[in-house]
Amino acid sequence: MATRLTTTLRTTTPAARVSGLTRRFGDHVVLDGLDATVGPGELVALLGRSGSGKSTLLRSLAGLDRPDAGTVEVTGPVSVAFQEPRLLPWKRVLDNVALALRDGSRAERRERAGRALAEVGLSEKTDAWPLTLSGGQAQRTSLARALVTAPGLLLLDEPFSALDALTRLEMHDLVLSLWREHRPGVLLVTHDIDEALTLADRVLVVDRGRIRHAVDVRRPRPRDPADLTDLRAELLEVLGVGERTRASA
Amino acid sequence: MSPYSPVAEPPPRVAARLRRPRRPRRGSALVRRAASPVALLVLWQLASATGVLSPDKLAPPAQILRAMVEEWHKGTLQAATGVSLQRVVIGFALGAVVAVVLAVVAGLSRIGDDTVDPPMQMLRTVPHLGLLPLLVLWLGIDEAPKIALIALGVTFPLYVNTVAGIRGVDRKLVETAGVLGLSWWGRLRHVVAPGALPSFLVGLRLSLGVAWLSLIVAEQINATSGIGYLVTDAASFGRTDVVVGGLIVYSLLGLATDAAVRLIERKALAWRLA
Repeated sequence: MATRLTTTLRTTTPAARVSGLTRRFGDHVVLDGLDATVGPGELVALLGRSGSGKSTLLRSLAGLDRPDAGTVEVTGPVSVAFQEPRLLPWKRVLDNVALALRDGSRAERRERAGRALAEVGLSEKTDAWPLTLSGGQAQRTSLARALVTAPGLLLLDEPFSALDALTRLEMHDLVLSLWREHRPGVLLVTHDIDEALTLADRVLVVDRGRIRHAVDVRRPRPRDPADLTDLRAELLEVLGVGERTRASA
Repeated sequence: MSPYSPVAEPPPRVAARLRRPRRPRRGSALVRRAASPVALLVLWQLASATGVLSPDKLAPPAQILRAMVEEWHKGTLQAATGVSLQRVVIGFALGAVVAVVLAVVAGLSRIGDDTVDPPMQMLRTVPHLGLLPLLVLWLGIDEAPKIALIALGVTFPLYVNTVAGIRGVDRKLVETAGVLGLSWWGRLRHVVAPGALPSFLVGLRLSLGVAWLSLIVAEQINATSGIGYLVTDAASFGRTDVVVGGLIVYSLLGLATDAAVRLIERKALAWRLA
């Protein structure tokens, strides 16, 4: 049986802890007794090939998928930012962000949403329709919506992969500064090794339904990918592309 | 486009975008586009004046206008329009409520879809105007069969488009609303309803066209009031001016409701055109 627990004691308990997480789709075992922890205020990157189970893990943590067995403990509230910004096109930017809030009067919710938008640098876009935003602006709105509830656990599902390279670097800086400011536990699902290494405290590699490798990235930020080549090689090796990369280098 | 056309028109902006960009030309566009209809009217009036067109067959435009002004002063035109409008309003409201309720049931639940959709899709193919004799048998010859015919005509296009709108709502957005903590009602209100609105409004325009068409057919039979009565009564006296005048009132009413929905579209779908 699968169990799910949500607490709000964010300073002492891990932001997320899963143990023995198992998920099957028919005969296909996607998660095979997976154990993982995201400490309070820790930024963890989850690397894996497509089909490795990383998205299923994130969906289990978000409560979007019901595992077949294992326990999921999360520190709420839990927020998610997806690969696509997933804004409601018929609500203005401010109302999209305010939609995440349940408590308080409408005026209070809009006021908090306005502050969240200011934090991501979109104060002048509060009244804009989502379809008029650039990809980066839409993704920043999505981040504001995820952070406006002051989450204990922030789940980021490849949120930068659809952005151009420059915008992606800007978003990395933004995520780091927001994370420093609010200190949620973060699980960043990505397939970009450099992204994982420049942002995360810890990088987990998931393959065939389990965490197969963990790398502690104890380097001061901001980090330059050029200084991380040793860890990069280690991760490439684990992901099974080390040989080919070295041969072509 | 006539409001009675069975074909859905693309939203105005799309049509505008498909058209070649408008270059500034000499002369106002309105004047250029009004020229040929005005010329036809003048030709019509001339044909009547020279005796080519007998007033028994078709009265000249000026006489139609005069007859309508006369009916207005007698009060018969307003009374007839009021009666016809009331039939359409009641019939449309009934049909719309049934269509939306069934569409929500079919669009939101699997069981509802399996139960409601097959009979609706079957009945949709029945030409509803052909049901008038049956409706008269069932409901008599007063207001009831007229209103029922309008309601039947409205139900199907509105149902089909509303169901399509609900089914077309992006599931990822519904899922996201769930992650944001919205209740079932909140998801319906903030995601499903606005997501289905564009398609619903297309259905609304189509069904309003059908409503007017159904009214015209219903009023041909056993009417003792309304524009249809005005027209058939005038026809029996050979008053082609009043007959044509009645038709013009029908089309003006149809145009008015169509314009009203277009206005709603422009206000409610501003996010899409932005």
